[in-house]
Amino acid sequence: MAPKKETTLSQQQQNHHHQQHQQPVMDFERIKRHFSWSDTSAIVSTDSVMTATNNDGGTQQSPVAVWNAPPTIARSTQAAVSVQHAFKVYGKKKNANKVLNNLNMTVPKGTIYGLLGASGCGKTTLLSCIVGRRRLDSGDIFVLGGKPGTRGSGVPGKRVGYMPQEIALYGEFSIQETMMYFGWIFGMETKEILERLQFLLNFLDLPSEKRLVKNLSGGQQRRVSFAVALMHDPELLILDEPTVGVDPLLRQSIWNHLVHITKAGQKTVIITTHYIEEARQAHTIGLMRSGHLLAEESPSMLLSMYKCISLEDVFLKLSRIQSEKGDVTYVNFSNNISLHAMAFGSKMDKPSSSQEGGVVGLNFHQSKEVLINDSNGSIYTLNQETYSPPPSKRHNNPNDEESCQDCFADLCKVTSKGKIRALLTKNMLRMWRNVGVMLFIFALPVMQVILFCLAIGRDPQGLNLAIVNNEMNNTDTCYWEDGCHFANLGCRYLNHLNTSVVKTYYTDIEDAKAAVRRGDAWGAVYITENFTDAFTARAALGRDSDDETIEQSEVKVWLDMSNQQIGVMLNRDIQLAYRDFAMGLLGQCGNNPKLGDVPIQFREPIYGTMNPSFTDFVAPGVILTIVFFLAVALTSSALIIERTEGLLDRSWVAGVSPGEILFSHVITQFVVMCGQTTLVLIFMLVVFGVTNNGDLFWVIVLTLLQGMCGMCFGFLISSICELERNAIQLALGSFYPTLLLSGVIWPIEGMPVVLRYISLCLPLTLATSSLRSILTRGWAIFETDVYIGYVSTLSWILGFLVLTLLVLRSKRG
Amino acid sequence: MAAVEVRNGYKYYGSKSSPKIVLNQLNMNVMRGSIYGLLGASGCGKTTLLSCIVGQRCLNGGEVRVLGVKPGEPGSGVPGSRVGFMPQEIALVEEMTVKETIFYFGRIYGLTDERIREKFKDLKDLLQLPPARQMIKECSGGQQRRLSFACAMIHDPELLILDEPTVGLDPMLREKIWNFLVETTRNSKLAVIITTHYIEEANQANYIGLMRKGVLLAEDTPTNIMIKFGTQSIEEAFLILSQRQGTEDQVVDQNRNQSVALPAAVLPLEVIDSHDPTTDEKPPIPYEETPNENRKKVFFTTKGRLKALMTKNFVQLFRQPSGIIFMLLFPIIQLTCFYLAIGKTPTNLELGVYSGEVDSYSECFDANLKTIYNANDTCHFNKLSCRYILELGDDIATRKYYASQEDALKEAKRALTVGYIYFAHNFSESVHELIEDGIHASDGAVDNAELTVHIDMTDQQVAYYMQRKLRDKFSDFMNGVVRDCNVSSALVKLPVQFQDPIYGSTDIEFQQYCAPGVVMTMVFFLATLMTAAVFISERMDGIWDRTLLAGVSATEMLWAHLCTQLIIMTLQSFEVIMYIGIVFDTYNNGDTTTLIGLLTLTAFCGMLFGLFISVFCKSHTEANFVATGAFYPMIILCGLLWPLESMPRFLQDLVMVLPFTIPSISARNVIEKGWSITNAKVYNGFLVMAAWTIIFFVLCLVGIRRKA
Repeated sequence: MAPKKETTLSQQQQNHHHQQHQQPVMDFERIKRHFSWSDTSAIVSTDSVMTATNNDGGTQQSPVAVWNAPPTIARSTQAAVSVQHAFKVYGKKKNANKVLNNLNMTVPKGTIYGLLGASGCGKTTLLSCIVGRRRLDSGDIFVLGGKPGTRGSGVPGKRVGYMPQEIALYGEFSIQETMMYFGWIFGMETKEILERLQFLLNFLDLPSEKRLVKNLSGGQQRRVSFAVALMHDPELLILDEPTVGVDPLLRQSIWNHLVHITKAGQKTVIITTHYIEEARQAHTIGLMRSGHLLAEESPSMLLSMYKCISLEDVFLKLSRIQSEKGDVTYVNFSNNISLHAMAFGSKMDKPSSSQEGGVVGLNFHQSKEVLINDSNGSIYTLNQETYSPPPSKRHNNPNDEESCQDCFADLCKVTSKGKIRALLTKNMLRMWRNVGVMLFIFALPVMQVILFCLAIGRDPQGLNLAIVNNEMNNTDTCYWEDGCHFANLGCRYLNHLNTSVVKTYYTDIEDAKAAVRRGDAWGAVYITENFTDAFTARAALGRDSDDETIEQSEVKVWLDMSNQQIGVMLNRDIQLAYRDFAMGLLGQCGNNPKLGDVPIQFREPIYGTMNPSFTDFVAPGVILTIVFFLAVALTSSALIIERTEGLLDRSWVAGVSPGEILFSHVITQFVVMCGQTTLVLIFMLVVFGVTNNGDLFWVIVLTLLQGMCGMCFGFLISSICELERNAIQLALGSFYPTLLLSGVIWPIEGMPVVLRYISLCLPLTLATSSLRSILTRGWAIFETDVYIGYVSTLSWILGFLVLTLLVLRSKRG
Repeated sequence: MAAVEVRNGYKYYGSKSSPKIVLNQLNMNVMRGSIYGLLGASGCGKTTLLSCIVGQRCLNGGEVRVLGVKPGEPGSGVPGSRVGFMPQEIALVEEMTVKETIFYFGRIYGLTDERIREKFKDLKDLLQLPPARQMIKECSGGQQRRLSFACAMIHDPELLILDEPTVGLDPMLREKIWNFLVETTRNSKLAVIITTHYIEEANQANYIGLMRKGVLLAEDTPTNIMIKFGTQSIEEAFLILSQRQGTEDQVVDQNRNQSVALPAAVLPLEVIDSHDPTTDEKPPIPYEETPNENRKKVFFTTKGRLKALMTKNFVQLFRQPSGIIFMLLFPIIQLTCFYLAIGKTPTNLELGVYSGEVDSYSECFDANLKTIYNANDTCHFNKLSCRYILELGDDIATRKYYASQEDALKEAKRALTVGYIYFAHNFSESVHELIEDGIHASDGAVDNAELTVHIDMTDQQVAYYMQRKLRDKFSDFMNGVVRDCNVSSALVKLPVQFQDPIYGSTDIEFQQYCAPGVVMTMVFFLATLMTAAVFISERMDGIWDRTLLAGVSATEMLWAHLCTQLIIMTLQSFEVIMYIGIVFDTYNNGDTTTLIGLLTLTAFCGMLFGLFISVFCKSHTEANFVATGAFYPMIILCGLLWPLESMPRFLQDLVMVLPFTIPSISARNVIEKGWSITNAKVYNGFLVMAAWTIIFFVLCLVGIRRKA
């Protein structure tokens, strides 16, 4: 295997080279020779192996970019990280913020590279490009011989360790759980992880592995964070300000360890820091300012070159030069730089900048020494002047991604399971440890269902009616006889009003009306003193009864209709009471009881009962909204929390793809949803006895589907919103209109026609009516009204997913 | 003369039994006219020490004197105008412009506008501040930091405290700041305390204190320290000191419980004594400050402060487009949704019709069709069902005609129609017989003279509506028939007569029932959502601490927010009321001012609830969950959607105390019954709402006092 051989070869060279770096005084001549030797040998051997190398390094280039390729190959074998002509712009074209501006950087293998600069100078952007989290607008990055972000390059993934600036650990995890999480993601065996954990605990002087991260002190958290980055013994370790605000002793020990690992193994370390002084211990430091490396050199070299006592002063000096010249023209600035470039002409990465102007093409097969000589002065200057960012040049090489598919494919397959396991454990633990969330997940639906069933939809009880019955002759008892007796019929009628009404007797109808007016009673019922006689006469005379008889035989009712539900209900009850009364009387007197009935007959309903309850009507909608919006609430913030905590970045660098994270959330959420659905349905159907005439299976399926739909909506929200606050606002804001418009509490037939069509387009409307059909009508799945609910839910799920992906893609691009 | 003196400062967090000691017998001296660099890792107690110095926290033991007074004393000006503080984070309101920010802090410190303008001009040149009209969020990090620095300097404080002012700054800017500080302290009595991670940059400080684990390891001039430890850099000196302390750590831990004074005596003594001569070196500046002047300042400022705070609140609110949209649009959207979607009479229903009397329904629409022949005291009917069908019209539901009952049933089963009505083939004859024979009519005639209705009862609201309408129409129809026949209506009329309702109308809609409650909850919770975030964002931005350190009390901040929100809330309630009144013309039988009063009170209560949430919740998420968690039970329990009377007894009593139950009944009483505020059932709504308002307010005050 030619490429492998070459790698080992170059690694050896790296080793060699690295040892040289350790020497206090550097022999630049020797290094130069050393490199030229390595390069020539590489070149000599490469010509034939070229294609193979391409496969390994992921550097297959389109013919257009071919001028770029050869030195890249050469360099990718000697440098752990090499960045060439990197441009990165944030913001729109108008007020573009150039974060990386023609940046070149080379990190040799087996060294510590200190990247220094003020915050906001582009350090973090550069690092995120190196680990493949972001993409350059133009320029090339090679990390460990591959392009970051391409499949199989191992970057992001197993080969890189990343310690972000913030702690970026989940506070509710114990140290062990944290290690397990990352270990699994890296595809390590549990036993292996535990061993490593013990080693790291001892090494970093960490407390018991059972302690929760949030209970650790700041320094300990930082050490855990460091331990996570060291976990899998990566080839490239990237530490973003690991020593900020850290105790001097700890800082010392971190540095000692870094020096140790770079000395011992093939490890490379990139470390960013504000403390310019601590970077003295690094092999190379890059001073970065406004998206550009001002210098890239060993600390002692810099000090002697600028005749400064501290690196701080060097940086200040360089900054001053940049801002003085930089403002005038770029030409001047680059001239200036070129002087420096001249001064440290021995810099090994300089060749990289000499790819322009065909020089490389000519000189490539020559020894590096020539190249360096060429590039030192004039060419570099030239580069600085002329090299402008090519208009958003991305190497649209379709082969890019597949360049190393097979060599790491098996690796991916293995880790995938571990990753999912890690992610799932993480989601579950997070939920489990968070009491508030647990309550929200399981207590809230139950509480909502209970409150709903208790408070909504029952018939009002204990309504006051003011009654004036003049047949009673001021006695308090209202006596009547069962059977065909025409006496005290008023009392007999009133007796039928028993169920929901509290009767208060008044003697004067005006008093009774006043009581209603005061709000003491919901209505007044008036029965005249000769009600019985008039009623009998009316029945006997039939069509010949006179007006007075008719009037006397009537029960007069004044209602308070200010409360619609109560008013309508009383109206109905009073009529029904009369019907019962008349039918009972007629029946007992041997007449057709129907004569007493209103001549309109409501027969057994097609669906439902004669006494439908509002609860039955609202229940399907309530079940679905609860499940839907709980899912929204839970998922909408899930991704955002992960993002803000920094865990997402960290997992990303560990090689977890967004798809995997999404998938793990879907699974977790699905489990939660099953629990919620069970709870809601048990309480609705079993405890509170909401009618279900249909197939329970389809009810469950629809509920789960709606939960999925809510989940997807939550994902959409969390992909749109940057802040958790906004996400929650959006979720809550969408809840109320949806509830009102989906025909949950009021039939959509009550809406204006236009709104009705809008309503049908909402995710809950069709599903609600479908569920209602199943529950109350007992319809099966093949009825149009039923399956359309499933279809609409499914298409909403699909729609939300597509939108989420689109949003995510547009955000990345 | 020392600007800051800390003697035996001792402070722990957590409980007394297991204290987490943050400051351990710490001694510190800061001279006037000098720069004091306080160095140490994060978590070593620097921030706690500083907050004790500015009077934000109190020591558990020991003594602090700042500028000759105890911090936190009333009138001491500490915290307040004598101290300037620049926190580590930017802690400025992003939505404000540079000028507004300067004015905000200037006013808080009680400077006159003229003075602020002058100072602004000076500082602008000195610190190269961005243009006055630039928004802070548009400034670069360095500009923001410089502005933050300017804000700490605006009032010429006697003591300037800078918490890591140079972290992550461009070297040029860092140098500039240091030069400025050195210059200023040289020429004035200004004392500067600067904390930093960069140990090296403290080289320029007059004194440095190296702090670790709550103890000052050393306090001396940088050169002295380096000489003493024979090192090239302070960094190394610190490392040596740390190593020394680290090894003695265990000893300290053991001793801590026995005698607290001991470890301090053992450990830092040798270091501290080295600085003692230096304190004497500088001749003490006679303490001739005029605290009176400061006192005057403190009292004068309240108005200016309120102005500053309110300006800030408004600017913050109005520069956030999403906030305004939310504020103005959300109520309208919700109200529109509610009014359009809920509680209206169902329309566009379809009702199946089958009449056995007719062969073709076109007969019914024949203009020449005569259904009633009146002859010799008796009526004869022909195709009487057509008359009903005609009278029924399409208002209630669109009629759909069927040729057979089976068809009608089938379509109803498939829910294509709401149901169907059915007339027997001898309907006309049966009605005739019924009218003629009255009580003696045959059973068959009685049965067939009926209109039979089958409807789908799954949708309770639609079903009841259909039932009621069909019944009404049918009794109208029968009344018409008997009138045309000149017979008494006794035959067909139900002997229950509903008079005009005392309140409301017979065909009242559900919407009218639930509107008062829904509008009230909407107003309440909009106010809640608006305010629930204010203190939380402020705390998160750091502007909260910064303002407190400027001498503004937490209560003052509460008042400022209250005033701001009051104005916004008034706008919002006005908007809601106008919208309801104009667009949806909700009829109102009562006094409109009473209603507006009640709604305003509701919104006010909601606002206080929001403030209450934001005082007690730590994060936005928490606040949102609390607000939502409160919202849903309220909607369900407060009798807004369904009458209270239908709840179980115990629940009814329970929900009476909730903030919407009684007030929404009051509102309904005003709207439907036209009662005035003097009625007990109206003013009790006001009382309940007012009681909740007061409860929330008191809780806010208590909470904010405790937090501050």
